[in-house]
Amino acid sequence: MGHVSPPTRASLLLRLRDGTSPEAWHEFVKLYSPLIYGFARNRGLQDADSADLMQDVLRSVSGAVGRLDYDRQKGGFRAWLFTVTRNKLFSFQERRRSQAIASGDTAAVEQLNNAPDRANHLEAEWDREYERRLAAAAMEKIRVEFNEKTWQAFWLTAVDGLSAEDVKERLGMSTGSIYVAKSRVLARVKQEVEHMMSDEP
Amino acid sequence: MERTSCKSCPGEDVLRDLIGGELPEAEQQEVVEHLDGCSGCQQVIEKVATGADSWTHVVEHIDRAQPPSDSAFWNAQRQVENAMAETYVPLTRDTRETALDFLQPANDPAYLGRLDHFDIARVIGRGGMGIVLEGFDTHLRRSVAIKVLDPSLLKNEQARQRFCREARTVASISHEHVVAMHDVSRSDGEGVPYLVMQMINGETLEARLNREGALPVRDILRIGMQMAAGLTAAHMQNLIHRDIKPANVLLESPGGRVKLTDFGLARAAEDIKLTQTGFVTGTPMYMAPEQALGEELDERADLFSLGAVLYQMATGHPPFAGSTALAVLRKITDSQPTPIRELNADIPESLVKLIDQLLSKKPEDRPECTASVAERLAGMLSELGPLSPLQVPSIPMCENEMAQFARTAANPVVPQDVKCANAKRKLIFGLICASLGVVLTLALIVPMLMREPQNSASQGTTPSEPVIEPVAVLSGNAGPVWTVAFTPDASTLAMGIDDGTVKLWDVPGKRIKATIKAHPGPVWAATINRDGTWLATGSDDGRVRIFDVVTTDEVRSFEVSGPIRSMVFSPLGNNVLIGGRTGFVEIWDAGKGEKVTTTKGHAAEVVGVAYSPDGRTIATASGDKTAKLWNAETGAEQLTLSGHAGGVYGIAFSPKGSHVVTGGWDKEVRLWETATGSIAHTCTGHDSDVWCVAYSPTAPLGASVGEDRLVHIWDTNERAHVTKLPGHTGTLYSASFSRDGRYLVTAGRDGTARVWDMQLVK
Repeated sequence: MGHVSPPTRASLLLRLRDGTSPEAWHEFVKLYSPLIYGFARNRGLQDADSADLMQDVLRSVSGAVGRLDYDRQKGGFRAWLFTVTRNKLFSFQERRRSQAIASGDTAAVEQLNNAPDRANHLEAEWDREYERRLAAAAMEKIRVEFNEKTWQAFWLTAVDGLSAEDVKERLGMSTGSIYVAKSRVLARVKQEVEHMMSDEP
Repeated sequence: MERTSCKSCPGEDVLRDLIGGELPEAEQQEVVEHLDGCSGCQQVIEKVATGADSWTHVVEHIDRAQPPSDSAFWNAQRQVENAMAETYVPLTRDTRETALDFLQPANDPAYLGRLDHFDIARVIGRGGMGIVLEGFDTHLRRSVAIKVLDPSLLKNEQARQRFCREARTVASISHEHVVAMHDVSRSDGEGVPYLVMQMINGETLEARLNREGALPVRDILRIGMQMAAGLTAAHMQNLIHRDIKPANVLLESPGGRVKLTDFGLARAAEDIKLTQTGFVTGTPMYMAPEQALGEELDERADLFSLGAVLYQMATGHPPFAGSTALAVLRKITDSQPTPIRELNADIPESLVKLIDQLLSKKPEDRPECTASVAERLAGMLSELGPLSPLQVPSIPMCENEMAQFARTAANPVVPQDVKCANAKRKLIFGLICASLGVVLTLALIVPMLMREPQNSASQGTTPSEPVIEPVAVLSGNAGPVWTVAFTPDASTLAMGIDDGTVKLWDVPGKRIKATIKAHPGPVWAATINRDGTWLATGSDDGRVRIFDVVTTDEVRSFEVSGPIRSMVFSPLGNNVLIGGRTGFVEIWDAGKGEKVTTTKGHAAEVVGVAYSPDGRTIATASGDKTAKLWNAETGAEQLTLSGHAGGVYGIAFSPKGSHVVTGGWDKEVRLWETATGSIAHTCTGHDSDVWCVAYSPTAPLGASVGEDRLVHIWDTNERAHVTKLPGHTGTLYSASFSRDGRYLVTAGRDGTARVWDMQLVK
């Protein structure tokens, strides 16, 4: 039918729960796999291990999301996905520790033993990365709403972190217009992210 | 560049309007010019845009959050997507309530449950014999695949014991191309038998063939060689596989190494099924003729099946196909498959010859043993170029081969049978081992945010006509409202809530009259009968509960065929039409608690159901991308409405029954003629999923709601938008007109129901 589905559809989880939509899986994987992978990478896992862990988490989720049995009182889907990811991460680290002990790699054991208990930090970091992931998806979705110049002004200043002074000649825009462009897109991204979050069960 | 003077700096409300594009042109220019030089205002405008929390950290360098293009991530993502799409099956009543009831509750909420010392993470798949689970062995701390035999297949103790005996033989095979069986066990010693196997990440050969059709010659040879090697290991233990087929060949990732699974289990299953039904079920497409005829089998039956799989890899089709199992069996015993070269001219003659030989009707015409087949395939493979040592399987000598070897050694006069010489040694020496050419399949990365620019910024919706306010906003519900229904006089509303309750609201008084604890899970469906006396509710527990609307006492309840997704009372009497999450569609007499009509149902969840105004026809909308019309009395299917590009979620009849309107995933609202099933009109205007549609009983008005949170009102004569009503702050799941058509109620994720006066809309 020629329909291109936007990268995120907020009622995704409902369709997953109903359990027969391949499109829903596609969207789900596209949205959450970079988050889980990135979270593992940021915790020091290697590329291949992070990819494995991502697969592992999504496979577990695929079995459980159909029942949607996470406790909605305790922070909803975001917290539930965090629990699954954290547990896989812990058991991965535990395996690594046993391997290090078995191979007599005392330095690695030491390092793994000394990893501080950062459970609270971990959840806060998860929330931050989760928000960033939704923002990336939101940006992909709303891109079409802005003209090229507005978008470039936003991208160079907000994403690349350049100053308006640095880019105004390249863009042929005044400093004031650059700030307006950046603010407009930011406001829209934030609105879209809130939209996505409010639709999660 | 200080904030020059407070007087000349624009207020935050002005900046907000500037961001929203709502400032008049002249003023806009003035403020933008001011922003050029005022660093204070430059900071303020960002704060106005994103509120108190700075969003700099959220978007800064967000492009670097994407995994690099050479990351293992991309391959893993593709795999997990394929795997999930393949193995994900709709929940059936069986799997919910029967198949998993042997599990103990999980200690960790991330798991489905526990089986002895295994934490069960998910269901990997289901087959004729039972269910395959992913488990975590808490003793050995490793992931395993657990195959649990369908308890109904193993009713008698004898069958259970036989199964365990067979499985122990399988456990004695240890080979790199056979899925390792770690253990055979029974829960708590006496309960359901289950097999603990090596967990393989990857896909089945069946999935690959479905996706790609015929495979490259190199892959055919490698997969065939590794299959033959795995079979040889089994044959040495006098174990015949009996069910070699693409679905039992796993391709491990990365690398695609073959792992054969389900060894000998076919026999155990057959025994059991035979004792139950006297008939063998399953796909016979790869079966040897002697097997199809029910004769005695030996290892050579597996050779035939190997040939059938090779044939399919070479041509993209199984050698013997037919529309019924019987037709396939006749072809296997009586006819020759289409010559391979006619279907694929790229297949080398040597391989064609080998496959033809393997597919010989008489066992004695086939190659003598799988080891010799592996060797021949390895020979062909090495002709194509260097081989990786990782691809070369170890091939033990099979038994006849050893006997022959012994004979040959004892009596050099007997001509050497080169075919069955020590295959393993020849293989290793005969191959040119070279470096492994790794072909990385790089996922195409669509550069994010590089699309063509379109028209300039549009900010939200600006309704052209004055905003219509709802006459009532009923909030304070515990979570999303999945369904709403008026009583006939529109004085009371029933709402099905996510927390399992149904709330009855006094609409004019805007207060809750009663809260009924109806179900343990979300109430998907709530409907009120013609005379306004009964409320019927449905949920995943598969139980319809009937309540007295006035006293809220339960009148009766009854169990239907599965979890309930949608339900509506007949316009005539007390029948309820029920749509299930598993696709069933049936009608029950709510007065008696008896099923009165059964249909063939849908292939996926039934999200929307509707009765024609005369009560004779029913309409259903399903996630299987179709809507259907059925005879309400006989349950016979009348029409299938195909055309939606995704799941269909909402359906409603026009007042005269001449049309139905549907809406769904593809964002479209479609109008169909009920006489012919043709599409009368397609309405566009939703920018995301449509979850519910409604038709006014009295006026030419339709309503559709969904993820865009707006209530779309349509003129059904003009087939055009009348208006879009804003106000809801979450996805809308339900919309319903009062019987007199005066009011429309809408409800959804934001936990509110809004009542709209249609006279204001007109």
